Amino acid sequence: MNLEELTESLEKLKYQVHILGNTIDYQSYPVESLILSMDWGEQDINRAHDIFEKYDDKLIAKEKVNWGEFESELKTEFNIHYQTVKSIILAFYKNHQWTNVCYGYAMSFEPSTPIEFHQITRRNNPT
Amino acid sequence: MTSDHITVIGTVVTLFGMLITIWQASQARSYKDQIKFDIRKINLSNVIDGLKRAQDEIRRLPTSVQSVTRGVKPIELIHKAREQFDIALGTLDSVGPDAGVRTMLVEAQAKLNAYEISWNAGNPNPQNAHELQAKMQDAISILSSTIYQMEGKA
Repeated sequence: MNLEELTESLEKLKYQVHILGNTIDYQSYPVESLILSMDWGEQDINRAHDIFEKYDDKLIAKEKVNWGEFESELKTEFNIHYQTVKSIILAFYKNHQWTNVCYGYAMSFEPSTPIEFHQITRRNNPT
Repeated sequence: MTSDHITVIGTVVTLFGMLITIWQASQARSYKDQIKFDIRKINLSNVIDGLKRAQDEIRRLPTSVQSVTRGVKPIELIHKAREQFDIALGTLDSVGPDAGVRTMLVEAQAKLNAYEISWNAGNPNPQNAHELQAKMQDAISILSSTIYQMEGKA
């Protein structure tokens, strides 16, 4: 198989993965869906986990958390905008991952919380 | 018109009044039954919604310490599922028509407690998690069927 054929196969595979990604049920698999929509690899999702873990540790240690800093960290790490930060938060929350961090971030918008975060702020009871 | 006629007319009017009172009482009972029916249906729908949320949380309970997904806190999942059990058990009457499904939920709650004990001991019992999932599925299925029957769809 020459380089051209390899590229062609790779393009085909990428297209097929993209099609498969569209069939994933976001409600049941929010993080898997996020990974495909963001075109993330294992290292990327681990980088996201690292940031969330850092802030989860702060919450556990009852440190004061600067949620603006948290948002900036995600934006800088992945070169994304606020709307994408929101998608990451919602995906993790729906998947029951880092829920206290998601709750803290969503609550930082109170009293003018974005409507998408109501599912977090109106249900959660942080533990 | 004689006094006899007046007595007969009076009696007829009285009987007519009694019939209206009886009819109104039966209507009131039917409204009351309708309200009770509606309240039960709303309660059952709310219970189903809560149990579906609990089912999602239960589905994510790790069956071993090694299989915990990063960022997931099993104790938090257990507490959230337990909240839904509390709401459901507080809503369903232990002697009414939904007593059977309530008993099933009590058994499921016992499985959740057993899982929590095994988790805290550092050795989660997968059997508890599987049985819990099965009981939740059965309870949701029974409640959904009940609502369908109430709506005359089954």
